[in-house]
Amino acid sequence: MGAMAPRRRLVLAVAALLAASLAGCEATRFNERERLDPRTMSFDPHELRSTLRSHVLTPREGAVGGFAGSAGGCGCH
Amino acid sequence: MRKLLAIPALALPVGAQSLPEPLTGAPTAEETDDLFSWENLLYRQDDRGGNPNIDEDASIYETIILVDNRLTETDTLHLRALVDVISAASYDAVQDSAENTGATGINPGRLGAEVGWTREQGSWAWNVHGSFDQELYYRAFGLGGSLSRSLFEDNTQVSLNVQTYDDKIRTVRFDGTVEPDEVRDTFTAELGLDQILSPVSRLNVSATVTRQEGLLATSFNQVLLDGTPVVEVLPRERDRVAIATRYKHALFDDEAVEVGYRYYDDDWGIEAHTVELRYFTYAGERLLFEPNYRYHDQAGSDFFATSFTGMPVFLTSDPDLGDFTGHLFGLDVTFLERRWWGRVGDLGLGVNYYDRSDGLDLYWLTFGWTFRF
Repeated sequence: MGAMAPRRRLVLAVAALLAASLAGCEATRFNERERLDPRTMSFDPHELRSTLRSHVLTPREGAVGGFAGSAGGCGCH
Repeated sequence: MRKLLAIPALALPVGAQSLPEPLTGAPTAEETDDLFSWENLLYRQDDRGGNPNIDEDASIYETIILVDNRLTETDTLHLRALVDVISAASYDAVQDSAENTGATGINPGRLGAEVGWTREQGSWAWNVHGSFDQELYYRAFGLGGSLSRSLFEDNTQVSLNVQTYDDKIRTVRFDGTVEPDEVRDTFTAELGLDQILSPVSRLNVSATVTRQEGLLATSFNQVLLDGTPVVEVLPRERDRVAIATRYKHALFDDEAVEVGYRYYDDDWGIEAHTVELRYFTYAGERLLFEPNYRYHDQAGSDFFATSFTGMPVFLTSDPDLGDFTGHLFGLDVTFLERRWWGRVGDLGLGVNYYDRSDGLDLYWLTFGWTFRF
């Protein structure tokens, strides 16, 4: 039941993604954000719709976390 | 610096999930108004695949109501209620057996309630929330919290979410026999980063670690061992890790695209890759279309098989723990700023179809209504 090697890879992947996301970024000022429409450019703009989607997908897949719900708190039908 | 407006939207439930983040300097309705949101789900799954040993026919109606009440400029109270009406062949089979032994009564569906509180101070925001859920054979208490900070003129938001569930399971077996109640404890921690990359793009990255202990098998699932039905047996511990990233890019003033990828791994042997694509396009100023596609590729658990021989320690035939690939096609339509029942808000409709390579297919419809007051 050892999953340490994949976890180390995950930690490295997270670090790489964080570094890549921050490297070379220049601050986008408030007056430059008119195209970042909250309805289309925010993550999970429909909170309850996303919740229901995760209630369907989480019990039907062996995976949880990320953008697809969390474990526990549900007998899951 | 403007105060932090919302906690980054991550995968944890409750008020830990954010409203759409205001992205310009001016105060918006999200900062000042209360919110009422109501969402409904109609789910249908036919017994055309999955586990050949059990009937997986199921229908579910679920409704959720969320009210966010802004108590002060810095504090918001979140209230959520959930009701499910469930009709499932697996439940019916267990209940038929259990009624013979006097073990169970009426299927109450699922009832849930949740209370949360968010405080936003300067560049910091934190949230605490508690929940209770009751299902047939299941009761769950949840407690969670989140802490987030906005940096670099709100270009960057970092967050930490934690969630714990203390669940109790009434151990009713497939043949109707009842054993002492069991517990299932779940601890989840999620680290997230939301980064505005440019005036037309942003990135979200999250890493999630989950630890579960207790009865992790489904109490009434059955498995064929040498041709004889026996109860499902799974380890009493499970460690799960997921890393996910999503990228959004505004193509034009009224179009955007989102690409997401998640890698998942656990110590039951399941490894999964999930890709999501979503396209946003306005049709006029008050109609938003969101076609979307999801691909899920899963290597099944070491303990999964459709039948067993010999003397395995762990055994399950739950197809959700098996090998499969899945294709999900969906379309969400939002009618913006429409008057309904005396309020101006957003009406949402959604249709989704999920087809799995093991033959299981399902679809669900959603209908929602959100307004601020």
